[in-house]
Amino acid sequence: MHDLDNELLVFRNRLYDVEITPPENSWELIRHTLDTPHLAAPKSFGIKKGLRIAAAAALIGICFFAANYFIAGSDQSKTTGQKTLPANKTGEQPDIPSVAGSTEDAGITAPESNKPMIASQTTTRKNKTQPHTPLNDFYREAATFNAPPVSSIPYDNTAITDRYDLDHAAAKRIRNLKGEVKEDVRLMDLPNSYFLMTGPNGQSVRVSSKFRNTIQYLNGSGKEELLDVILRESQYWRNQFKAWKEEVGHSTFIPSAENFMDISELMKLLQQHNNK
Amino acid sequence: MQEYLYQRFSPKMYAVCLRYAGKAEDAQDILQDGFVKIFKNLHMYRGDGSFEGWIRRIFVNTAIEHYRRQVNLYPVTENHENLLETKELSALDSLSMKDLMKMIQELSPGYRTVFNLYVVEGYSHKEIAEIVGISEGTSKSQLARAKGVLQNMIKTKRTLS
Repeated sequence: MHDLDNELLVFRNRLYDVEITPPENSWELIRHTLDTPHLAAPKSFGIKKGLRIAAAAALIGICFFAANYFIAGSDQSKTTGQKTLPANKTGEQPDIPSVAGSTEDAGITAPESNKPMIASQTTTRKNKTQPHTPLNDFYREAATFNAPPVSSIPYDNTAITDRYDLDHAAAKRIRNLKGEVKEDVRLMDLPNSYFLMTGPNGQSVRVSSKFRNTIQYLNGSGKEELLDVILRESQYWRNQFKAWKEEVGHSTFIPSAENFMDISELMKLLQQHNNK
Repeated sequence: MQEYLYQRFSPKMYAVCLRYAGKAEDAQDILQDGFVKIFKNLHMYRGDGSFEGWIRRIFVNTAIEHYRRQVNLYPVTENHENLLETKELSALDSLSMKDLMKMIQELSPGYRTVFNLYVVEGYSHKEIAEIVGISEGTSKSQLARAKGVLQNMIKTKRTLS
């Protein structure tokens, strides 16, 4: 209890213990309120009800998003499985009907793909101007499972599909004749010199096109020309750095910490010391 | 039991309600809510302090809850506060309890709440700030303004008489 001015003390002394009789019906109203519980605490009940509704809504939301997440995940895995599955149930290559004109494999049937792949549509669109030949049909994505049996395919044709040749029509194929998923950089390419690749955990990664050759080579393409490109590039930069180094070495700058030439001097000294 | 408690404490608590309420109808509402709370939470009284003090605190809190939305609290500068320190309140002795009660009821809800809590109940500005949800400075300024308004009321009454 704090000290009060005398004037304020008058208020406290005269008002603190004042008794005023309440209206006559007050007790009746209180008793009525107590007898009817929903009137007794309507506010607290409302808050509880609101909290329950909020909790239920939150739970439904969480369940929805969780279910959505898992469903999306399982769909993705299914799609990946379908795309990478090269063989039928017996582990063999999918049965393939014969090419037009061939009579050897006439009796062989193949599973038909109901949903054409996006890449196949792209291929068709891009190849609009090309003449319609049996060979082009052979390389079309829609005919992936309608291709002739591997045994009947000459080695050269397979090699063509494996070749990293952007200008060749066969480069648009996603699968080669063995049913393997092939890389097509043009399909992967994004504007602004980037391309998309799939990481080890299935995540999509955007990579600069500068690393295209290196990644393709490391990815097991095994194409010598890719290695050549990488080596050429590295050789180019090696020569470039050498040229810059020589240029700096022959410059008229006085070695100092300001122009970092002292580092060059130090390196020379260290080399001389090692030679001795 | 409940009726006994009502009969025993209702006159004092109704006076408390009247001090915090602007109108008799509001005071009756607060009285009703307060007693319902007390009867429902009687088991929570631990016997630490006086039973009347416990009941009074419940009524004060109920009254504050009742008027929380109506309270408009405006800060006042130090100059105003100093100006209100005049000793005009000495004429209070000549006023009846009914007059004092009426004067308090005529204050705005914000002034009335802070004035009742500080002057009659004896809470500090820090405690008032926590109870009402305002800053300590606002509580002080509200009290100063309340005193100024009461001072004017007393002047008016003296002039009339």
